[in-house]
Amino acid sequence: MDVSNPVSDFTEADVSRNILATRLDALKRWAKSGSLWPMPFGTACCAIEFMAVASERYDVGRFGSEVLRYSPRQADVLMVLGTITDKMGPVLKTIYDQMAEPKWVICMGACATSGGFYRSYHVMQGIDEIIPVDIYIPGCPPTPEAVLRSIIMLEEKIRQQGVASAKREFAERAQRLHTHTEDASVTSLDPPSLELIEFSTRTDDVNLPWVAELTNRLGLAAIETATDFRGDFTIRVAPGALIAACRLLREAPFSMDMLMDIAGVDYWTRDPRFDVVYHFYSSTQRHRIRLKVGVSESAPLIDSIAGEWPAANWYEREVYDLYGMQFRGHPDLRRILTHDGFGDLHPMRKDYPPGLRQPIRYPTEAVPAAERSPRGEMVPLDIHPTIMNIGPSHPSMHGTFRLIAQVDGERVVDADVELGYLHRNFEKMAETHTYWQTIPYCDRLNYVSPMCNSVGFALAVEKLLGVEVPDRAQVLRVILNELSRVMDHAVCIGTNVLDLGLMTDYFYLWELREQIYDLLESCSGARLHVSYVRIGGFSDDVPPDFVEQVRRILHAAPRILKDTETLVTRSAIARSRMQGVGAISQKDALEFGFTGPNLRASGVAYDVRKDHPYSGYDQWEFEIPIGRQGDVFDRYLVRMEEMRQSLRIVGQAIENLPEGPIFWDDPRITLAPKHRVYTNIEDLMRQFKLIMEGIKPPVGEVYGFSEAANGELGYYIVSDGGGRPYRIKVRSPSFAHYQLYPRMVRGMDVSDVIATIGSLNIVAGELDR
Amino acid sequence: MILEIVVLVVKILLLVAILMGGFAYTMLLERRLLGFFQLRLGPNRVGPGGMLQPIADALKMMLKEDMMPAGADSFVYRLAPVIAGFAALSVDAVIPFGAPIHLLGLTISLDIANPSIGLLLAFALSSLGVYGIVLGGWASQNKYSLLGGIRATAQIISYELAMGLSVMGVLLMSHTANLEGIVLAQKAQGWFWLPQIVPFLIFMVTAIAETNRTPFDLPEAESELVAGYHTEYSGMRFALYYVAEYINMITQSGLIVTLFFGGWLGPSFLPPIIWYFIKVIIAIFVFVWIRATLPRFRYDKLMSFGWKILLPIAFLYFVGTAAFVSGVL
Repeated sequence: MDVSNPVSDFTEADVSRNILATRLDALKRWAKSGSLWPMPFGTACCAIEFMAVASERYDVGRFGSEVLRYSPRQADVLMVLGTITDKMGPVLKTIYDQMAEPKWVICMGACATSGGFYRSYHVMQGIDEIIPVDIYIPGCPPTPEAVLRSIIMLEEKIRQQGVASAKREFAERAQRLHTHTEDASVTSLDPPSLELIEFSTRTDDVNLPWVAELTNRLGLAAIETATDFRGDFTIRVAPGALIAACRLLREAPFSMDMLMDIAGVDYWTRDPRFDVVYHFYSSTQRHRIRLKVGVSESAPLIDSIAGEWPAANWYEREVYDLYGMQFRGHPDLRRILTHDGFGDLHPMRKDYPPGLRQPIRYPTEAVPAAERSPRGEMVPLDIHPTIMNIGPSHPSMHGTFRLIAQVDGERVVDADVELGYLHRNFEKMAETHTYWQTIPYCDRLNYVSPMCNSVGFALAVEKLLGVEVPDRAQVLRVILNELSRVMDHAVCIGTNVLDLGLMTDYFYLWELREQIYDLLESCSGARLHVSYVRIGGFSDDVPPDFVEQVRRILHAAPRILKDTETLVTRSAIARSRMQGVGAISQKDALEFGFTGPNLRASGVAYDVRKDHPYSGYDQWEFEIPIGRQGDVFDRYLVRMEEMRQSLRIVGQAIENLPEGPIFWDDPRITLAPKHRVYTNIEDLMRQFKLIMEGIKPPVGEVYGFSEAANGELGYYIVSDGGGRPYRIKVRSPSFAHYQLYPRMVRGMDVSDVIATIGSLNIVAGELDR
Repeated sequence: MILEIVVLVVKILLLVAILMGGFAYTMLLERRLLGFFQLRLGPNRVGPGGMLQPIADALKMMLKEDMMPAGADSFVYRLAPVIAGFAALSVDAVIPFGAPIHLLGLTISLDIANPSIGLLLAFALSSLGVYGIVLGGWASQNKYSLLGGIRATAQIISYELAMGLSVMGVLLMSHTANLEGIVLAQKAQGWFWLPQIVPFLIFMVTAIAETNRTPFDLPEAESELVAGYHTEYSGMRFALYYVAEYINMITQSGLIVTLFFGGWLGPSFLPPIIWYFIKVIIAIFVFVWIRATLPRFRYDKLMSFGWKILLPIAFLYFVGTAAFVSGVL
C-alpha cells in the first residue's frame, strides 16, 4: 500500500477497534486460547510431574485443559514431557505431523529442551531439531507451577498473535528446523581417558565348600580364579566351560534358581578385552555367585546360555547391543536398546565417545507400506491376523513401551516388545562422572520413587568403600525409602486402575503422593528428583518439623488407602477385570528373575529387606505379604499391603529416630561442614580434592543391592581406583519383569494386555536406562 | 394450518437450540462434577466461573483443521458422524417435555411428534446411533478405530434385548406405547419406578451402555484404544461425535424420567417443564457419578453380563408383571 494514501491515516488501534473482521479474529483467538486440549507425549520424569499438574493440587482442568486427547487429531497442544531419544524422534515427528492445525508445542524440562545432562549417544539434544516449539519450560523436572505458567503464556501468545503472523512464524520455524537437523548429529563430548588400566586378579583362598565342588565337577582347568571381595564371591571360568558351569549351578549344593543379571565390561587394554559377568542367586539358600568369562576383541564369540536360563535372552541381547559380543546359539540376537542407525558400532565400548550420536532415518512416506511383525520380518499392512502397534505413544503404555502384537480380532496371537525408547545411557554417563555426580542420574532411573534408587546406589558405593553410615542417617534412609515405596505403589495402583477406566481413585492416591512430595521438598528442596542422599549419609539434616510432618502423613494415609479399598477392592467390576488376568506362576517368576511385589504376588517370599537386611531393617517389625495366584489382583493386593507395612515401618522408625551426625565423617568420602571449609586449610583441601577428583574407592568390584519399590535394584560397580566408576551396570527390576511380558500377553484380549502392563509397574527409566 | 406449521417449526428450532445448549452445558456440568468428585475444581477460568468454557471449546472445534486419513473411505467417513448426530437429535422429537400448554387458542403439546408408538420410535432411532460408530470406526482405516467399531456392535447386541424387555412392564402397566400416555398413566397409578424397580435398574444400566459411557465405554476405551472409533476424527466431525454422546445422555435421562419418574409430573408450585428438567439433571448427575466411580467392563464380560444376567432377569420380571396386570396372580 502506498504510504501517501490517505487510508493509511488509520492507526492500528482504529483498525482493531472498528472493523468487524478483527473483532471476529479476536474471538477466534480467544476461543483457541481458552480451549487448549493437550496431547501428553510423556516419556520420562517430566510426565510424572505433569501427572501432578493434572491432579488435584494444581488441576490444569481450571484452564479447560484437562481433556487429555491421546489422538493427535483432536489435540491442540503437544506437550513433550521428558527425554526424547533419537529412537523416539521419528515417533514424535509423526505425532506432530498427525496433529490438526492450529497446533502448538510445549516442551517441558531440560531433556526435551536441550538433552539436559544427558549429553549422550542416544539422546536428542533438544526437540527443536525435528519439531517447532512454542514454549520451553526449564527445570529438571519443572515444578507444576511452571507448567501452569507455560499454559498461561501460551494462551497469551495465542491471544496476541494474528493468524498471519502465526503462519509467518511457522514458516520461519520450518526454516530453522531445517538448518538445525543438519548439524545435529555431530554432537560429541571428550573421548574417555586412555589411561592404562590394570586390575588385580587376586586368587584368594576362598573357603566355601562349593568352590571345591565346582572344581571337582568341572575339572581343574575350567576354573581360572576364585575371588572374594567384600563378601561377593566371583569365579572366573574358561569360555569352554561356561555352559557346563551354568548348568551345574542349578543343582545342589549351589541350587541357583535365579539369573539376576548379565553385564559386559570392557577392559580396554587387556587381552582378552571383554568380560561377560553373570550374577546368579539362590532363593532357597539365599546366596549369590558371580561368574566371569573373558572374551577377546578379535573373536568376540561366546556361548549363549539362553537355552539353559531363558532369562538370559534379553541380557545377552543387551551385551551384544552395547559391546558387540556374538552369542553362539542365541535364539534372537538383535539390538535391544539402541536404534538401528548404530550399524556395527557398540556404544558402551570404552573407545566410543559418550556423546557421539548416530543419524536416524525419519519416515518420508506418509503411509508406511509394511510393518514389522513380532517375528521380526516386514509384512504388508493388510495381512491376517493383523499387526497392531500398541505404543510407544499410547495412553496405557506409559510413554515409551511398544508392544508389537499380532491380533485376531481382540485376541493377541503373537507379540513382541521393542524397548530402548528411553535409553538415555545412564551407564555411559556414570562412567564419565564422579561417584557423586552419578547420584542425580540414579534418581532418574526409577523416577516414580527416586529416593530408592539413590539410596541403593549409595549403599553399593558404601559397600565398595567398606563404610557404614551413622545410625541417624540409616533411620532417615529407611523412613524416606519406605515413604518412596508408598509413593511408588500409589502411582502404580492409581495408573493401573486408571487404565481400567476408574479415574477417581487415581486422584485420591495422588493426594498421598503430594503429601510425601511436601516432605521431600522440605528436606531437599526438590519435589521429585531429590538428590538428597550422599555417599556416606545425607547432604543435609532434615528440617526441625520433620517428625511432625511424617506423623501427619501417617495420619492421612490410612484414610486414602481405605478409599482405594472401597473403590477397587470392593468393586465387582474391578475385581472381574483383575482376577485371573495376567497370572504368573512361581516357576516363571523365578525363571525370569522377578523380584519385588511382582515376585511376592506369585507366592515367593523374597524381600531383600528381610533376607539380606541393610540400613538396620532388621530392627523394625514388618511382614512380607505374598499372593497365591500371581494375577493382576494379587499384585494389587500385595502392593496395598506393602504400603501399610511401609507405613508401619515409618511409624516405628520415626518414634525411634536417634540424634547424631547424618554422614560418615571421613576426609576421603564426605565434605567438611562449610564453616570449617572457610576457616581451615585441611578442610579446604578436602573439599577441593573431593569436588575435583571425587571419591576414590579401592580397586575391586561389588554388587550392591537393595529393595527398591519395584524389586531388587542392584548396582554392579567396577572400580579401577579412580575418581570415576569404571563400569556401573544397573540390575533393574523392570528389565526382568518386562522380558516375560510379551509371552504373558499371548492369548489375551487387548483389554487384559493393558491391565497386565499396569500391574507390572514397569518404569521406562530403569527399563531402558 | 399455517399457524400450526409455524408452531411446529418454532418447536423444532427451540428443541435443537435446547439440545445444543444442553449438550454444551451438560459437558461443562460433567467436567465440573468430575472435578469435585476428584478433589479438583474443574474448568473455572474461561468466562465467569468457567461458564464460557463450552463456547470456547465449540468455537475452537469449528476452527480446527478437518482431516481425513489417506486410506479412508471418504463418503462413509463423512457420513458416519452425521448419522450419529442425527440419531441423537431425532430421538428427543417424541419425548414430551411438559404438559400441553394452551396458547392463541391452540393446544400445543411439548414434543415435536406424538405418535402412538412413541416409545418404539425412540428406541428405533436411538439404535441407529450405533451405525455412526461402527461406520466411523470402519471408514477411518485405523486398527484402533476398527476395534472400537467392532466393540460397539458387540455391545449393542448384548444390551438392546434387555433394554427392550425392561420397558415392556411399563407398557403393560400403562396400556400404551405413547410417551405422553405413559406419563399420564403414572399420574393415575403413581410413578412406575417402584413397581418396576428391577426393570428400572436394568434400563438404567442399559442406558449407560447405549450412551457408551463408563463402565460401558468400550468403543471409546481411551486407555485401550487411544480414542476408539473416533481416533482419526478431528475438528467438527469429532465434535459431532461428542455432541451425539452428550445428547444421547440427555435423551436417555429424558426416557428414564418419562418412563419411570412421571415425566413432567410434580407438585404444582413449579411449572411442569421445570420439573421435567430438574429430574433430567438429577439423572445426568447419576450418570456422571457412575462414571467417576466405576471401572470399565471387559467386552466379553459385558456380553455375558447382558445375555446371562440382564436378559433373564428382565424377562422374568416382564412375565411376572404380565401375570400381575392380567390378573392371573
